[in-house]
This record gives sequence, C-alpha cells and structure tokens, in this order.
Amino acid sequence: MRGTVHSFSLVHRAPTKAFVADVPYYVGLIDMDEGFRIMTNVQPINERKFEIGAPVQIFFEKRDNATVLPQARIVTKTEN
Amino acid sequence: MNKHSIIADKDNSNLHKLRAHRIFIGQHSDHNRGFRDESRETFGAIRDAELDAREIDGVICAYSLTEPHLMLASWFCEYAGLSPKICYAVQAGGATGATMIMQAASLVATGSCRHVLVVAGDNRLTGLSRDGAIAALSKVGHPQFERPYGLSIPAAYGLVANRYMREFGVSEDHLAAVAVAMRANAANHPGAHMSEPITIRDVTESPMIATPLRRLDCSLISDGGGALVVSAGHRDNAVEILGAGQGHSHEHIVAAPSLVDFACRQSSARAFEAAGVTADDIDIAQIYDSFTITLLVELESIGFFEPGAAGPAIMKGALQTDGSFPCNTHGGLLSHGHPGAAGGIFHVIEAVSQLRRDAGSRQVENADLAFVHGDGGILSAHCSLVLGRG
Repeated sequence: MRGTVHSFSLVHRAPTKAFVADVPYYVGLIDMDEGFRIMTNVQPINERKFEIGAPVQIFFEKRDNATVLPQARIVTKTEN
Repeated sequence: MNKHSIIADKDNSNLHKLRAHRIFIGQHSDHNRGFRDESRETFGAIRDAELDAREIDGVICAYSLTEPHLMLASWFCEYAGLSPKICYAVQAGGATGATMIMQAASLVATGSCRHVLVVAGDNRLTGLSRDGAIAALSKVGHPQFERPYGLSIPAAYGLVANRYMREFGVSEDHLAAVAVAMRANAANHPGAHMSEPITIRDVTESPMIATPLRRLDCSLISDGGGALVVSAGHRDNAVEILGAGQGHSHEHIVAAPSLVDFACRQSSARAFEAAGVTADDIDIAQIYDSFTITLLVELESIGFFEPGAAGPAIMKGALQTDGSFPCNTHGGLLSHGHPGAAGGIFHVIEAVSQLRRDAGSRQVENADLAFVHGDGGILSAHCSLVLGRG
C-alpha cells in the first residue's frame, strides 16, 4: 500500500506518559493511492527525504498482543 | 450603523430586535477554586446590566475540564442561587463562548427569555496542572484513528501549520510575530496572565513542542472565569449583537476536508450577511488564537488578509491597538490567558469593552464595529459574531 505525505509534525512533547519514551516521533497525514487519508507515524525520523509530497509505503507494526498499527516509511519513487 | 441590533432567524424572513448587555471584565485568577470565579463574574455582569439576579430568566453555562459534571449549568445555578426559566450547558470546545452568545440571542429574539446569563470558568492551571491539562485535551483525538499514533493537540495544529506554511509561503518568523503581537497587546491589560514583552527570537528559540510549533506558539493554561448578560432590556452604552453564524466541517483533523480551508469562512460569511456588513467594515476583531497558526489561518480565511499576507502585516504591527487591524487587544489566549471556555468569553468581553470605550490604555479609536470568532477542536467548529455600539 502506497501513499504520499500530505502533512506531518515531529512531536517533541508527548501528550501522555504512554508516549514519553518515544519522543521525538513523526505524526503524518498520508494520502493513500486508493483515495483516502489516514494518520500514521512515519519512520525513521532521521529520513532525509522526508517532506510534504514524499512517497511512503505502509507496513504493519505489532504494538502488543491486541494492537497492530499501520506505519509509514519513506520510499523512493522507483523502489518496489 | 443600525440603531438597534438585528438577529435574523434561519430563513432570514423574520427579523428580531434585541440588545446585548455587557457585563463585567472577567479577570484571570490564580487562587480561586470551583465556582467562585464564575459566581463573582456573574454578579458583576448582572450589576453591569442594571438587573437584579431574580430577573435572570435564562442561564447558559459552558463545560469545564476541572469540574466535569453532567448538569454543570444546574449545579452553577444552585451555587449562585439562581432559579431561571431555562438553563443548560453548551459544549463546543473553543467555539463555546461565541456559541453561547448566539444561543442567548436566539432565546431573547424568540421571546423565550428576557435576560440570559452566559457564564464560563475553568481553573485549568491550579485544578489540572499543565501536564494534566495537556493529557485531558489530547483525549479529543480520535480513539482509533489518531490517539494510537501519539497525536497531541499541538501536533494536530502542527499538521495544519506545516501544510499551510508550504502552500502560502508562511515562515516560522511570521508565526512568531503573532505571539509577539499578542504579548505586546497583553501588556496593556491589567488582568493579563503574561505581560512580559517577548521578541521573535524568544519565540523561535523556545522549546519545540510539535514542529513547527514551539512553546511560545501555544496558548497558555490559565485559571479564570467570565460572564455576560444578553438582554431584551435597555441601558445606556449597551452593545448590540448585529449578526451571528456558525460553520462545521469535521471534528478530527484526520477527517478534515482541507488543511488550508476551514469552516470559519462559512461561519463569518453567515455572520457578516446577517449583520449586513463585510469584512472590510470591521474596525476591531477578537479571534480565537489557541496557537499562532490558528489566528493566522483565521485572519486569512475570513478575509481580513489575503492568503500569505497576514504574517508580513503582523510583523509591521498590524494587530496592535494602533495598528491597521487591531486584533485581540487584550492579548488573546496566547498571552491574556486561556481558562478553557472562559478564554473564548474573554474575546467577547474585550470586544464589548472596546465598543463601550471602556478599554483604557488599549482603547482603539473609532471602534464601532467588532468581529468575534471562536473555534473548537482542530479548526473544526466555528462561531462568528458581529457586534456594534448601541
């Protein structure tokens, strides 16, 4: 599943204790090629090509036994 | 200028005359708890309207994070010793203040009430702490589609800011100029939470919260309360509600139709139409400024500045008392204070103070027509008011 970064923010100040260990982390709005928009985290945070309009690939990350979250990583336009 | 205020009903065919009375300047307070703030402001507002408390026949109360309750309006009336004919609470986030005024005007216009008390207060600083308030506010994020990704309220506005800045060439210095202008305005208000002057460099070197928003791009967390009376009665120097309108496009930022075009455009257009004025006619504005980007987007979306033009104008002092477009002359949520829904009430109270020539050293000359705007959520729920001198 592919999409592009519509916008993003690098969060330095966690909203709750649950996210304190994760800062800084990217929250992004991703426009999926299928035509809908989702919010995900974008990894990794030191990605140089990260900008609005950057292409991303969605992968799924297991957070605990009950939770699997979609995440995005930046890809090049030719990358499979 | 209309001699009498006019509120149009939904189909615009039935016009009602009414007058809105202010009221009392709501003060930021560090030390009061619970209902004491609201109660003090309430009786100030009732005195200002030259009424007896027994004449208040409608009460509209805001929500509170510090004192959450299913029936806050009833509890407030019990505390204050009021027995109105109509009483309920309104919950519309940052749009609550303006929405309560619009609703009170409707109650008076339809004859349901003669004297409606509008009241809000929340001691978020002493009642919740800064960490507690930030955590409580983050719960407005969508439980399935936003909160699992660690979305904070500043991050949601950061998403708006990054997109808006890219599309319209807005810089971080432009955002910082909004914070600097609000602090300069707050210095002229004796009740402001923060009045120490700041520079653009202070803002751009303050700790990063969620890119591109830094600590000084974010509004304060304050204690305080405020109250107004909207009345069918008459008194000298009353302020009139000339028009009101709302706009609603989404709640969660993941579901927003656009990150650069928000329903403040519709809400303000409806308020201007009801008042029979345009954005060009407005002398002063009090506009919700939860973040620097919030005020900048709203100034441009409502039509007070062309897209991308507000930042450079603000750097030249446009929003200050003697500027080309005086806005948030009390210092706004960014510097006057942000006690939740009462922060939106402060915008209304400042507009009333200016129109009544009660604003002291921050008085804007010839302030005859005021625009007030509140927005709740992530630029989600909007309510606009046009107020004039009686």
